[in-house]
Amino acid sequence: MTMVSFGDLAQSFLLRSQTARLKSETARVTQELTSGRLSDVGKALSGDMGRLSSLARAHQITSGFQSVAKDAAFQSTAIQAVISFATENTQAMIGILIAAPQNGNGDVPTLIGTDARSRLSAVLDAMNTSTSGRSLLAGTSVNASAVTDMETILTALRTEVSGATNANDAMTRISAWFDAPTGYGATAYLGGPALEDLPISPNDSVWMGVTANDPAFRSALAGLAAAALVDDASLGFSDAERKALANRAGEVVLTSQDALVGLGARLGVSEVRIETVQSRNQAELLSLELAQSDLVGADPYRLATELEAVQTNLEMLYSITARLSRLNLTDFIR
Amino acid sequence: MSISSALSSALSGLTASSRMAEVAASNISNALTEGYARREVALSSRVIGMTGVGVTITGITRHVDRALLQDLRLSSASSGYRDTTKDFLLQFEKTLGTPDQASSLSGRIAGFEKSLIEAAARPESEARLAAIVDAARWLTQGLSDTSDQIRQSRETADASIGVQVKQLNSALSGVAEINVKIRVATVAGQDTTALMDRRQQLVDQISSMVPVREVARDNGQIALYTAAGTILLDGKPSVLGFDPAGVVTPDMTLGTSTLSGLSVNGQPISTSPAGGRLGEGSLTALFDLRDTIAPDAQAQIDAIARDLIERFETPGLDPTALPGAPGLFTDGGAEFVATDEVGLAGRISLNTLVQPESGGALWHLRDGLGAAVSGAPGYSGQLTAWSDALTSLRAPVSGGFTAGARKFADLASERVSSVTVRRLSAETESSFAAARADGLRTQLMRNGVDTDDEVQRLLQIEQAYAANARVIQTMDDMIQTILGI
Repeated sequence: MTMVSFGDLAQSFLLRSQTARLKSETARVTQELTSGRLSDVGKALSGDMGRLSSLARAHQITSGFQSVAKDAAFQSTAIQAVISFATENTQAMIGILIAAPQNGNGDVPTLIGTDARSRLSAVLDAMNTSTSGRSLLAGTSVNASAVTDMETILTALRTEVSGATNANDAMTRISAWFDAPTGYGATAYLGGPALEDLPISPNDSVWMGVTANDPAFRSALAGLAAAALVDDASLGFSDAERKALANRAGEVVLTSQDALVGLGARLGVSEVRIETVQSRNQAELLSLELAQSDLVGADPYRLATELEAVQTNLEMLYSITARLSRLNLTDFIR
Repeated sequence: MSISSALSSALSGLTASSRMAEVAASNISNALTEGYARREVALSSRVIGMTGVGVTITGITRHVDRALLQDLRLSSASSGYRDTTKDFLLQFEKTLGTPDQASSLSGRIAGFEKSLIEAAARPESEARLAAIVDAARWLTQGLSDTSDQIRQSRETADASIGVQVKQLNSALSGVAEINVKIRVATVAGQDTTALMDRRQQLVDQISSMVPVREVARDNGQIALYTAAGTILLDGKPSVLGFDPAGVVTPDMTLGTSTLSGLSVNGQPISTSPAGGRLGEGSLTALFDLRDTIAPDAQAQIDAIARDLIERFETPGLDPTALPGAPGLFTDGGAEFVATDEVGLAGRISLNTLVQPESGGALWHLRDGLGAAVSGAPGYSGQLTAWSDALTSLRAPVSGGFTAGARKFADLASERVSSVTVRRLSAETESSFAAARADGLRTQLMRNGVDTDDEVQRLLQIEQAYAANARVIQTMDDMIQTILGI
């Protein structure tokens, strides 16, 4: 006699596999809810990791560029300070230098000389500024001073101008020494070639190549150095000739002003670009994060609904299991 | 004579009832035994001469749906095959990581690029140069960890094949032994159901490794064939042969005979494609893993390592480099040779020239590997060149990538994508196979022991027993009555 029966194992297998399925679902939902991240990113993206990977990479790279841009902004601000310091100090000398020949006072050369020496020394010190262990104007030789001390420059110049007959001659020789690579470039400038353009985003790089060897600095230094030599005994000039040299030095300083302003403006362009790129990078980082969380982030509202559904299912299953386990013939035939 | 024949009928009824109670008890006690086939006592009326006298037990029937069992065996074998493949791909994908995590291969590459960019801004900073070395080592570590994981998977697969082959051989000889016992018992007319249960369990065990078809032979014996037609047992059991290698390195393959293949009775037998002459089961899945899937994964990761090494060996990238000297990344310290790509990912290492703890110096990163002395500390040209080497477009030489030049980072993300796609499809296949096997298993279990049914039957048996006993008592009374006359 064939009887239709239903094996006990089938029922318990069914209930057990359903319980296991629902529990693993609960575990997944809870994990996604607490971590805020999809548990199977590959599945959510249908296996195409290209976008996620390029977003994550762009985020890393941009944050790297962002720290570079921060460095660059800091550095260019410091260089601007040096440039304006040099501008101020030279500008202060212009009036007294230009007017020297008209000044009847006999002490003028000494006054000018003393003032110019202290200013020259101050400017040279400023040019040797280093921020966070990096010498600002030494080009690639970031660990060295940019320029030598004042005395070395003046000593070299004394040799250069010895034998000069008049103020014009002396000034020409001084300017020539500052412009010659064998003069200032070899003796006074201690740094290396200018720094290369600095990349601050995948597509932007900025010019940061200000060095102490820049023509603007050289002509400012030439003017100041000439003024410093005005009262020098080794020149053997007459008082009028000394005042004429001061006047010539004043002219050189005057022209150097334009060059210094130009240099500052050129660096200013870089500064503006750094700032623009910085804010663009910042915005990009934010949008990259958003896009990334779009891809891998778990939606809490959807998850909460799912959790609710799974909970209901599980409770239902438990009550069914309890009912079914009470339902057996043995309990009724006592 | 009718009183004594009635007594005899009642007696046969008692015997049948107690036999049925015994079977019901056995059924109930095995209600939770998987693979136990429900028994039923087959009854028919006893005939002596021309008249029916009582009931006789013609045998014990095992209720098992052979076709269903066969389907279940095949589908659980196929489910095992897909599970093995899926598990490996899942593990491989995990090792490669999700690209948005720093520990993933893509994350390590991005970290290396970032360290180069940051160092280019401050080439004089030891800390930033050291960060490059750390990031580069973290990258090579990622490649070699992945390679090692693949190697280990192959090794485990090789060892598991050895274990499974042993289990198969002992299960096959077990089935052969039981076959003999069943034949003897059948000839002697004894109950063979317990032996059949035991044999079914053994065959189930075999079929989880190799899909088998069971063919009935005389006297309750069976023969076993693989789904693809290889004889495993027909009278005598076949002997499967396999030599586990113990240690498996990436360069060891079946093709070069450095790894063992499978043999049946001394004859080599193919295990691929799709299980070859054995069919798709967990045993052939392990072969497939060891000989195809894992070596493919190894080749893909090797191609990435090769591309990395070759990018940094590009002539002109480092003007100070000496001809024939290894680049920033090396094949275990030496220059990469195109003929020696297998296992490269496991050997790739950062050039010791830039590692201070190996006698190198950090400034080699800034001034070039071949530079004799440290140059200007603010020089960033070489660092920018290194970073450009990663982002420049280059066509990978090996690894089965689609044609076209790409950045290094894209190479890794493409690889992860392709592994993920394969994993997802393997997962789908495996869950289909598992669902099918589960469905068949549930169906098979439905035909199993139902305690309610057995208890109902017991009630009947009880009644029948009481009725038969009553008949005997009545007959006794009748005989007493006659004797008392």
